Amino acid sequence: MQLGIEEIASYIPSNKISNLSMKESFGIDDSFIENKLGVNQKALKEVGEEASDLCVKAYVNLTKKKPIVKDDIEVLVVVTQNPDVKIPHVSAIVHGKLDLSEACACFDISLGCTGFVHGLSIIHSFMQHNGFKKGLLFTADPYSKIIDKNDKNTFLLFGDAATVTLISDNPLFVTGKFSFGTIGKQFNELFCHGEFLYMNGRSVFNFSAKYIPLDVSAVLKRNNMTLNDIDRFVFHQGSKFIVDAISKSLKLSKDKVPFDICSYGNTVSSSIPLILEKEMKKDNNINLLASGFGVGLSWASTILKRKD
Amino acid sequence: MDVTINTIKDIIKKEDLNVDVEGMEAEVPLKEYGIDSLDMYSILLKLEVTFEIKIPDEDVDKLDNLKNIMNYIKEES
Repeated sequence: MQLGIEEIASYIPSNKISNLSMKESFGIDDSFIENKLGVNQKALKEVGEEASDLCVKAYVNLTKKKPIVKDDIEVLVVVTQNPDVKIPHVSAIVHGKLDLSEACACFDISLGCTGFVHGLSIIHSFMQHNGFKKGLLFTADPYSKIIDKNDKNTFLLFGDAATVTLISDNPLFVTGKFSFGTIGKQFNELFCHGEFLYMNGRSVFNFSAKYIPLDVSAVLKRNNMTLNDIDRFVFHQGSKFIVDAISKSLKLSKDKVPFDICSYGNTVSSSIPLILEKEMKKDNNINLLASGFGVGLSWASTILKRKD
Repeated sequence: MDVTINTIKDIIKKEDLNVDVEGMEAEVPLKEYGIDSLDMYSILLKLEVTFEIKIPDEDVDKLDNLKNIMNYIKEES
Protein backbone atom coordinates (compact mmCIF):
# COMPACT_ATOMS: atom_id res chain seq x y z
CA MET A 1 0.00 0.00 0.00
CA GLN A 2 1.48 3.31 -1.04
CA LEU A 3 0.30 6.32 0.93
CA GLY A 4 0.56 9.91 -0.21
CA ILE A 5 -1.21 13.22 -0.67
CA GLU A 6 -4.60 12.85 -2.33
CA GLU A 7 -5.83 16.43 -1.88
CA ILE A 8 -5.07 19.70 -0.10
CA ALA A 9 -7.61 22.34 0.90
CA SER A 10 -7.23 25.56 2.81
CA TYR A 11 -8.94 28.40 4.57
CA ILE A 12 -7.66 31.98 4.42
CA PRO A 13 -9.69 34.53 6.41
CA SER A 14 -11.27 37.22 4.22
CA ASN A 15 -10.51 39.84 6.86
CA LYS A 16 -7.24 41.56 5.83
CA ILE A 17 -4.89 44.22 7.21
CA SER A 18 -3.02 46.31 4.63
CA ASN A 19 0.70 46.88 5.11
CA LEU A 20 0.43 49.92 2.86
CA SER A 21 -1.39 51.71 5.66
CA MET A 22 1.56 51.02 7.98
CA LYS A 23 4.22 52.68 5.80
CA GLU A 24 4.50 55.86 7.80
CA SER A 25 4.41 54.35 11.27
CA PHE A 26 7.10 51.77 10.43
CA GLY A 27 9.19 54.01 8.16
CA ILE A 28 8.98 51.78 5.09
CA ASP A 29 8.07 52.36 1.44
CA ASP A 30 6.22 50.54 -1.34
CA SER A 31 9.44 48.99 -2.65
CA PHE A 32 10.24 47.46 0.75
CA ILE A 33 6.74 46.00 1.02
CA GLU A 34 6.74 44.62 -2.51
CA ASN A 35 10.34 43.53 -2.99
CA LYS A 36 11.50 42.60 0.49
CA LEU A 37 8.47 41.50 2.49
CA GLY A 38 6.34 40.40 -0.45
CA VAL A 39 3.31 40.96 1.76
CA ASN A 40 0.81 43.68 0.85
CA GLN A 41 -1.83 42.51 3.24
CA LYS A 42 -2.17 39.92 5.96
CA ALA A 43 -5.11 37.64 6.62
CA LEU A 44 -6.57 38.03 10.09
CA LYS A 45 -8.88 35.60 11.84
CA GLU A 46 -12.01 36.83 13.60
CA VAL A 47 -11.71 37.78 17.27
CA GLY A 48 -12.50 34.69 19.32
CA GLU A 49 -11.81 32.36 16.43
CA GLU A 50 -9.34 29.64 17.40
CA ALA A 51 -7.02 27.23 15.59
CA SER A 52 -9.68 24.53 15.69
CA ASP A 53 -12.20 26.85 14.00
CA LEU A 54 -9.72 27.55 11.19
CA CYS A 55 -9.17 23.79 10.80
CA VAL A 56 -12.91 23.15 10.55
CA LYS A 57 -13.20 25.79 7.82
CA ALA A 58 -10.33 24.20 5.89
CA TYR A 59 -12.06 20.83 6.25
CA VAL A 60 -15.31 22.26 4.87
CA ASN A 61 -13.35 23.44 1.84
CA LEU A 62 -11.84 19.97 1.49
CA THR A 63 -15.29 18.40 1.35
CA LYS A 64 -16.14 20.76 -1.52
CA LYS A 65 -13.25 19.28 -3.50
CA LYS A 66 -13.50 15.66 -2.45
CA PRO A 67 -16.31 13.67 -0.83
CA ILE A 68 -15.13 12.52 2.61
CA VAL A 69 -16.67 9.64 4.53
CA LYS A 70 -16.06 10.67 8.12
CA ASP A 71 -15.91 7.11 9.41
CA ASP A 72 -13.01 6.42 7.04
CA ILE A 73 -10.72 8.91 8.82
CA GLU A 74 -8.43 6.91 11.09
CA VAL A 75 -6.04 9.63 12.23
CA LEU A 76 -6.26 13.40 12.60
CA VAL A 77 -3.13 15.47 13.22
CA VAL A 78 -2.91 19.23 13.84
CA VAL A 79 0.33 21.16 13.50
CA THR A 80 0.16 24.25 15.70
CA GLN A 81 2.00 26.24 18.34
CA ASN A 82 -1.00 28.45 19.04
CA PRO A 83 -3.58 25.96 20.30
CA ASP A 84 -7.08 26.89 21.43
CA VAL A 85 -6.13 25.94 25.01
CA LYS A 86 -3.18 24.27 26.74
CA ILE A 87 -5.18 21.09 27.38
CA PRO A 88 -6.47 19.22 25.44
CA HIS A 89 -4.77 18.92 22.07
CA VAL A 90 -6.40 20.90 19.25
CA SER A 91 -6.80 17.73 17.20
CA ALA A 92 -9.25 16.37 19.78
CA ILE A 93 -11.26 19.60 19.60
CA VAL A 94 -11.31 19.44 15.79
CA HIS A 95 -12.30 15.77 16.00
CA GLY A 96 -15.27 16.73 18.16
CA LYS A 97 -16.35 19.63 15.98
CA LEU A 98 -16.19 17.42 12.87
CA ASP A 99 -18.00 14.58 14.63
CA LEU A 100 -15.52 11.97 13.43
CA SER A 101 -15.50 8.31 14.38
CA GLU A 102 -14.40 7.40 17.91
CA ALA A 103 -11.97 4.96 16.30
CA CYS A 104 -9.76 7.84 15.17
CA ALA A 105 -6.36 8.69 16.64
CA CYS A 106 -5.72 12.37 17.31
CA PHE A 107 -2.53 14.19 18.22
CA ASP A 108 -0.87 17.56 17.75
CA ILE A 109 2.60 18.39 16.51
CA SER A 110 4.29 21.41 18.10
CA LEU A 111 6.35 22.85 15.27
CA GLY A 112 6.36 26.11 13.34
CA CYS A 113 7.47 26.67 9.76
CA THR A 114 8.79 23.12 9.35
CA GLY A 115 5.63 21.56 10.77
CA PHE A 116 3.99 20.54 7.52
CA VAL A 117 7.04 18.64 6.25
CA HIS A 118 7.64 17.00 9.63
CA GLY A 119 3.92 16.26 9.75
CA LEU A 120 3.99 14.49 6.40
CA SER A 121 6.72 12.17 7.61
CA ILE A 122 5.01 11.51 10.95
CA ILE A 123 1.52 10.83 9.60
CA HIS A 124 2.87 8.60 6.83
CA SER A 125 4.85 6.52 9.33
CA PHE A 126 1.92 6.35 11.76
CA MET A 127 -0.51 5.27 9.07
CA GLN A 128 1.89 2.81 7.49
CA HIS A 129 2.69 1.20 10.83
CA ASN A 130 -0.98 0.80 11.71
CA GLY A 131 -2.28 -0.14 8.28
CA PHE A 132 -4.44 3.00 8.03
CA LYS A 133 -5.75 4.16 4.67
CA LYS A 134 -7.06 7.68 5.35
CA GLY A 135 -5.78 10.47 7.56
CA LEU A 136 -5.99 14.24 7.84
CA LEU A 137 -3.00 16.50 8.43
CA PHE A 138 -4.03 20.02 9.48
CA THR A 139 -1.88 23.12 9.85
CA ALA A 140 -3.23 26.12 11.76
CA ASP A 141 -1.03 28.55 13.60
CA PRO A 142 -2.88 31.84 14.17
CA TYR A 143 0.09 34.08 14.94
CA SER A 144 -2.19 37.10 15.28
CA LYS A 145 -2.66 35.86 18.87
CA ILE A 146 1.01 36.53 19.67
CA ILE A 147 1.98 39.49 17.47
CA ASP A 148 2.88 42.85 18.98
CA LYS A 149 1.28 45.52 16.80
CA ASN A 150 4.27 47.79 17.41
CA ASP A 151 6.90 45.25 16.30
CA LYS A 152 7.96 45.97 12.72
CA ASN A 153 9.87 42.66 12.52
CA THR A 154 6.77 40.54 12.96
CA PHE A 155 3.63 42.65 12.54
CA LEU A 156 4.17 43.23 8.82
CA LEU A 157 4.85 39.58 8.02
CA PHE A 158 2.55 37.07 9.65
CA GLY A 159 -0.98 36.16 8.62
CA ASP A 160 -3.56 33.59 9.72
CA ALA A 161 -4.64 30.55 7.71
CA ALA A 162 -5.25 26.82 7.94
CA THR A 163 -4.82 23.90 5.59
CA VAL A 164 -5.84 20.27 5.55
CA THR A 165 -4.07 17.54 3.61
CA LEU A 166 -5.84 14.28 2.89
CA ILE A 167 -3.34 11.42 3.14
CA SER A 168 -4.65 8.23 1.59
CA ASP A 169 -3.90 5.04 -0.30
CA ASN A 170 -5.08 6.80 -3.47
CA PRO A 171 -2.41 9.49 -3.71
CA LEU A 172 -1.79 12.14 -6.31
CA PHE A 173 1.73 12.75 -4.96
CA VAL A 174 3.97 10.48 -2.89
CA THR A 175 6.83 11.58 -0.69
CA GLY A 176 10.46 10.71 -1.19
CA LYS A 177 13.11 10.58 1.50
CA PHE A 178 13.23 13.40 4.04
CA SER A 179 15.97 15.55 5.51
CA PHE A 180 15.70 17.17 8.96
CA GLY A 181 17.82 19.33 11.24
CA THR A 182 17.76 21.52 14.32
CA ILE A 183 20.03 24.15 15.87
CA GLY A 184 18.50 24.21 19.33
CA LYS A 185 21.20 26.54 20.66
CA GLN A 186 19.54 29.30 18.65
CA PHE A 187 16.00 28.60 19.87
CA ASN A 188 15.67 32.10 21.30
CA GLU A 189 16.18 33.84 17.95
CA LEU A 190 12.52 33.11 17.15
CA PHE A 191 10.42 32.41 20.21
CA CYS A 192 7.47 33.39 22.32
CA HIS A 193 8.01 33.67 26.05
CA GLY A 194 5.09 35.50 27.54
CA GLU A 195 2.65 37.47 25.46
CA PHE A 196 4.43 38.23 22.19
CA LEU A 197 6.55 36.62 19.50
CA TYR A 198 10.18 37.77 19.28
CA MET A 199 12.14 37.39 16.07
CA ASN A 200 15.79 38.31 15.49
CA GLY A 201 15.41 38.93 11.75
CA ARG A 202 19.12 38.92 11.07
CA SER A 203 19.71 35.59 12.82
CA VAL A 204 16.79 33.95 11.06
CA PHE A 205 18.04 35.29 7.72
CA ASN A 206 21.59 34.06 8.38
CA PHE A 207 20.28 30.64 9.37
CA SER A 208 18.06 30.36 6.29
CA ALA A 209 20.65 31.67 3.82
CA LYS A 210 23.40 29.40 5.16
CA TYR A 211 21.60 26.15 5.91
CA ILE A 212 18.69 25.81 3.49
CA PRO A 213 20.69 25.71 0.22
CA LEU A 214 22.86 23.01 1.82
CA ASP A 215 19.76 21.09 2.92
CA VAL A 216 18.26 21.29 -0.57
CA SER A 217 21.43 19.67 -1.91
CA ALA A 218 21.30 17.06 0.87
CA VAL A 219 17.68 16.04 0.25
CA LEU A 220 18.26 15.85 -3.49
CA LYS A 221 21.24 13.58 -2.91
CA ARG A 222 19.21 11.35 -0.57
CA ASN A 223 16.65 10.96 -3.37
CA ASN A 224 19.26 10.45 -6.12
CA MET A 225 18.10 13.61 -7.85
CA THR A 226 19.59 16.91 -9.01
CA LEU A 227 18.27 20.48 -9.15
CA ASN A 228 17.32 19.87 -12.79
CA ASP A 229 14.92 17.08 -11.82
CA ILE A 230 12.72 19.44 -9.80
CA ASP A 231 9.83 21.27 -11.46
CA ARG A 232 8.99 23.52 -8.51
CA PHE A 233 10.88 24.41 -5.34
CA VAL A 234 8.25 25.07 -2.70
CA PHE A 235 10.05 26.91 0.08
CA HIS A 236 8.48 28.07 3.31
CA GLN A 237 7.17 31.51 2.42
CA GLY A 238 9.05 33.36 5.17
CA SER A 239 9.41 36.59 3.20
CA LYS A 240 10.28 37.46 -0.38
CA PHE A 241 13.72 38.50 0.75
CA ILE A 242 14.51 35.10 2.27
CA VAL A 243 13.04 33.07 -0.59
CA ASP A 244 14.95 35.23 -3.12
CA ALA A 245 18.21 34.80 -1.18
CA ILE A 246 17.86 31.00 -1.13
CA SER A 247 16.89 30.91 -4.82
CA LYS A 248 19.86 33.09 -5.71
CA SER A 249 22.24 30.93 -3.73
CA LEU A 250 21.02 27.83 -5.58
CA LYS A 251 20.92 29.70 -8.92
CA LEU A 252 17.27 28.73 -9.48
CA SER A 253 15.19 30.39 -12.16
CA LYS A 254 12.37 32.45 -10.71
CA ASP A 255 9.66 30.53 -12.55
CA LYS A 256 10.63 27.41 -10.60
CA VAL A 257 10.20 29.07 -7.22
CA PRO A 258 6.60 30.04 -6.46
CA PHE A 259 6.11 32.94 -4.07
CA ASP A 260 2.53 33.87 -3.42
CA ILE A 261 1.82 35.39 -0.02
CA CYS A 262 1.18 38.94 -1.17
CA SER A 263 -2.47 38.87 -0.10
CA TYR A 264 -2.27 36.91 3.15
CA GLY A 265 1.26 36.89 4.67
CA ASN A 266 3.57 34.31 6.21
CA THR A 267 1.23 31.65 7.57
CA VAL A 268 3.94 29.56 9.27
CA SER A 269 3.20 25.81 8.88
CA SER A 270 0.43 26.55 6.37
CA SER A 271 2.70 28.33 3.89
CA ILE A 272 3.96 25.22 2.07
CA PRO A 273 0.61 23.39 1.71
CA LEU A 274 -1.01 26.64 0.50
CA ILE A 275 1.47 26.70 -2.40
CA LEU A 276 1.28 22.92 -2.96
CA GLU A 277 -2.50 23.13 -3.23
CA LYS A 278 -2.03 25.13 -6.44
CA GLU A 279 1.12 23.51 -7.80
CA MET A 280 -0.18 19.95 -7.48
CA LYS A 281 -2.99 20.80 -9.90
CA LYS A 282 -0.55 21.62 -12.70
CA ASP A 283 -0.07 18.49 -14.81
CA ASN A 284 3.48 19.38 -15.85
CA ASN A 285 4.65 19.45 -12.23
CA ILE A 286 6.03 15.96 -11.74
CA ASN A 287 8.65 16.44 -9.01
CA LEU A 288 8.26 19.06 -6.29
CA LEU A 289 10.69 19.90 -3.52
CA ALA A 290 9.18 21.11 -0.23
CA SER A 291 11.48 22.85 2.24
CA GLY A 292 10.43 24.30 5.59
CA PHE A 293 12.68 26.29 7.91
CA GLY A 294 12.26 28.50 10.95
CA VAL A 295 11.21 28.02 14.58
CA GLY A 296 13.70 25.86 16.47
CA LEU A 297 15.73 26.85 14.60
CA SER A 298 14.91 23.86 12.45
CA TRP A 299 14.53 22.68 8.91
CA ALA A 300 12.78 19.85 7.09
CA SER A 301 12.57 18.96 3.43
CA THR A 302 11.36 16.25 1.11
CA ILE A 303 10.53 15.45 -2.47
CA LEU A 304 6.95 15.00 -3.70
CA LYS A 305 6.61 12.86 -6.81
CA ARG A 306 3.48 12.68 -8.96
CA LYS A 307 2.12 9.15 -8.83
CA ASP A 308 2.28 7.32 -12.18
CA MET B 1 43.89 40.29 3.40
CA ASP B 2 44.44 43.91 2.46
CA VAL B 3 41.04 45.50 2.97
CA THR B 4 40.22 48.69 1.07
CA ILE B 5 37.07 50.62 0.24
CA ASN B 6 37.07 48.84 -3.12
CA THR B 7 37.20 45.46 -1.37
CA ILE B 8 33.99 46.34 0.47
CA LYS B 9 32.43 47.70 -2.72
CA ASP B 10 33.22 44.44 -4.53
CA ILE B 11 31.43 42.48 -1.82
CA ILE B 12 28.36 44.71 -1.97
CA LYS B 13 28.32 44.46 -5.78
CA LYS B 14 28.00 40.69 -5.54
CA GLU B 15 24.79 41.12 -3.55
CA ASP B 16 23.09 42.53 -6.65
CA LEU B 17 21.21 45.16 -4.64
CA ASN B 18 20.18 47.42 -7.50
CA VAL B 19 22.28 50.34 -6.23
CA ASP B 20 25.14 52.23 -7.89
CA VAL B 21 27.98 50.77 -5.84
CA GLU B 22 30.74 52.40 -7.90
CA GLY B 23 29.29 55.83 -7.15
CA MET B 24 29.17 55.28 -3.40
CA GLU B 25 31.31 57.53 -1.23
CA ALA B 26 33.22 56.23 1.77
CA GLU B 27 31.59 58.27 4.50
CA VAL B 28 28.04 58.60 3.21
CA PRO B 29 25.57 56.40 5.12
CA LEU B 30 24.64 53.31 3.11
CA LYS B 31 20.95 53.90 3.71
CA GLU B 32 21.22 57.11 1.68
CA TYR B 33 21.96 54.90 -1.32
CA GLY B 34 18.78 52.93 -0.72
CA ILE B 35 20.37 50.07 1.20
CA ASP B 36 17.77 49.01 3.76
CA SER B 37 17.96 46.90 6.90
CA LEU B 38 17.36 43.64 5.03
CA ASP B 39 20.04 44.45 2.43
CA MET B 40 22.38 44.93 5.37
CA TYR B 41 21.60 41.39 6.57
CA SER B 42 22.94 39.96 3.34
CA ILE B 43 25.96 42.30 3.26
CA LEU B 44 26.86 41.42 6.86
CA LEU B 45 26.54 37.71 6.15
CA LYS B 46 28.81 38.06 3.12
CA LEU B 47 31.36 39.98 5.21
CA GLU B 48 31.26 37.28 7.89
CA VAL B 49 31.81 34.51 5.36
CA THR B 50 34.46 36.36 3.35
CA PHE B 51 36.56 37.46 6.31
CA GLU B 52 35.72 34.52 8.59
CA ILE B 53 34.56 36.77 11.41
CA LYS B 54 31.45 37.01 13.57
CA ILE B 55 29.75 40.39 13.65
CA PRO B 56 27.65 40.65 16.82
CA ASP B 57 24.26 42.37 16.64
CA GLU B 58 25.51 45.15 18.93
CA ASP B 59 28.17 46.14 16.35
CA VAL B 60 25.80 46.38 13.41
CA ASP B 61 24.81 50.02 13.94
CA LYS B 62 28.48 51.05 13.69
CA LEU B 63 28.73 49.62 10.19
CA ASP B 64 26.75 52.37 8.53
CA ASN B 65 29.14 53.41 5.74
CA LEU B 66 31.96 51.96 3.65
CA LYS B 67 34.75 53.50 5.71
CA ASN B 68 33.39 52.23 9.02
CA ILE B 69 32.94 48.77 7.55
CA MET B 70 36.49 48.76 6.19
CA ASN B 71 37.97 49.85 9.54
CA TYR B 72 35.90 47.29 11.42
CA ILE B 73 37.03 44.48 9.15
CA LYS B 74 40.67 45.54 9.50
CA GLU B 75 40.35 45.38 13.28
CA GLU B 76 38.47 42.11 13.46
CA SER B 77 40.08 40.00 10.75
